[in-house]
Amino acid sequence: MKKNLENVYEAQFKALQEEIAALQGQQDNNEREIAMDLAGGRMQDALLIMTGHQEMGKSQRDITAHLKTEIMEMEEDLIRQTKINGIVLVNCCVKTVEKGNKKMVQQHRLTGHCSFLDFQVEFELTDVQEDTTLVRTITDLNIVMDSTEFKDFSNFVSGVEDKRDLLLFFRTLRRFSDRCEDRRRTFQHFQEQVQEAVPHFPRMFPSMGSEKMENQEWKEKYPCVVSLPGGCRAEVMQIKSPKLAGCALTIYWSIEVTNEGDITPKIDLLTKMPEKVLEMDSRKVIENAPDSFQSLLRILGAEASIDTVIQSVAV
Amino acid sequence: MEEARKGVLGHLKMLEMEANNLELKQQELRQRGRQEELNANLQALLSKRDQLKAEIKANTSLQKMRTLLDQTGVPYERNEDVDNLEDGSDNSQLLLMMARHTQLKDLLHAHHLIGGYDVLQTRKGKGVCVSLATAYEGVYLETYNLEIDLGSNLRICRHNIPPFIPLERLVTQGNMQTDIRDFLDTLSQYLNAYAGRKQQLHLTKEIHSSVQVAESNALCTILVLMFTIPGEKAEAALCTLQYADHTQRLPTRVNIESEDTALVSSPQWKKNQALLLETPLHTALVTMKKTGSIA
Repeated sequence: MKKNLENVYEAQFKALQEEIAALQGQQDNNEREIAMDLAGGRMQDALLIMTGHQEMGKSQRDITAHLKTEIMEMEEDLIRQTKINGIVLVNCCVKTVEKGNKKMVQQHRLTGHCSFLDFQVEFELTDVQEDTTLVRTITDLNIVMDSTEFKDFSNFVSGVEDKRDLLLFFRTLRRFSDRCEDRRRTFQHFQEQVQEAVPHFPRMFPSMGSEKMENQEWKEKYPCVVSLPGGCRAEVMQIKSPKLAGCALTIYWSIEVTNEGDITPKIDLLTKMPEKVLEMDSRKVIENAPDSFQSLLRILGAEASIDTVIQSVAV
Repeated sequence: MEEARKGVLGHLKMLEMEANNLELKQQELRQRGRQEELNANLQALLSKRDQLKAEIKANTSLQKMRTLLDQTGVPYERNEDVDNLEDGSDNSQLLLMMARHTQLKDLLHAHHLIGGYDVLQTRKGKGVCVSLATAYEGVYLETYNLEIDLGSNLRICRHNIPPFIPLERLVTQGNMQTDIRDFLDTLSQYLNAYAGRKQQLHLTKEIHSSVQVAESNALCTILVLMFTIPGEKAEAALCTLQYADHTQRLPTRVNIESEDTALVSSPQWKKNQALLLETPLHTALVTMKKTGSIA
């Protein structure tokens, strides 16, 4: 009888040990799939509540309140970081690929945007503990952006993926978006300015009897001087003279990005004039216009230079 | 006489019976002790198993809640999807907060990893501390720090930026007062370029032991290397790399000199010169070794 009892115990014991090993394996696996940072006193306390083991002296209300405070502090911190970094991070998922004594490899999946530029960045981070220092390396980098219109930027992105230069990518993304914003702001400013100025044009052509013309009729007879065929986020602004048909000036504002992340906005003026007008241009004003525009840019800057061009066409 | 013998025998028998009884009792005690020990062990294991099960359950619920938060993007308010996940009113609120906690931690860590400035308030809001991270070819390198005084004018009161980086010039001639982020971006450019050049030199020394570094300056903007040209004469070639643009990690000028002037003006070496202008140093040297230009 005694032997039987011992056997029963032993069998139960072994079964439990196996069950525990299996559960341990399951737990390890779960923790790798979605790696969450549960360190910190508040989280540990909260976890104890969740597993039904509450520590004496710490009421659920206290723990909840403390957790709430920590969350609020982190939310404020996130706002500060977002502001200074100029990058909005929406989601960050971490997966543990390898975890050893001195080495840890984790996969990070980030989604977010920098002004109007959305991105999805996946990178693998390897941390190796060497003697006294931690060596951190990006061992894989994958960037997805919806920037098919920005060919230059796409080339830069491929280069940065190869070199696994995560930091350069974000530094450049931010500066690129700032330059795009400059362009958009300037283009939009002119589009609005001219649309506001339209009612004033009739006064310039009194012989047309335009005092009696409605704004709408006027707009149809004299199309806007400035148009943005691709929208205010595109590279092109067209300036047409309301009285000279076939004469058009185009401003090309491109933003070049080198593989090293250098950003150079380039603004060029192109003219399109009918043959007859060109023939009449004895002083080569039209031919020299692009170069003159470059000089103007150097002295007055983008907005003032474009303003000058528009004024010269509108009048 | 008989009676006396009967008495002694009887006594002895009684003693034997007592002894037997005692032994039985001891055996029983030992067995019970053993049983209790086994029981206790079993209980301990059971308790460990139940604990694990509870932890896994909690973790799984937390992960589900976190995934939901990530997907719906509604950070905190109770929404329908979150309500459905609840299993008990008290704990669900806690679960939601825990999930939000991990989400925020991950996002903040991510800001740090992508080279963010890790802005930190100091001295009760009268100052801020920023960190400028540097990296090259995927390897995170030095981090530099600045402490800025938030007076009527921004002022850098403490920093560990090396003296050969033009911090003063950037502060006085730059836009630190009006656009702190642009100022930091420019400073970061200088620091990352320096870190990149330094790392290229470090890797060159490590990988290419046949290449001698004759001269280098602290800012790593001037490098003089000595190559050994393979061949019977084992000629040497002196290569000077100048990095005139301190925001760049590639040289602006490459000069190659050797006693064997014919070799240096050969098309192969013209290619090498171009290579050194367009490719990081340690990588260019790999190619030059492969093509047999250097030893």
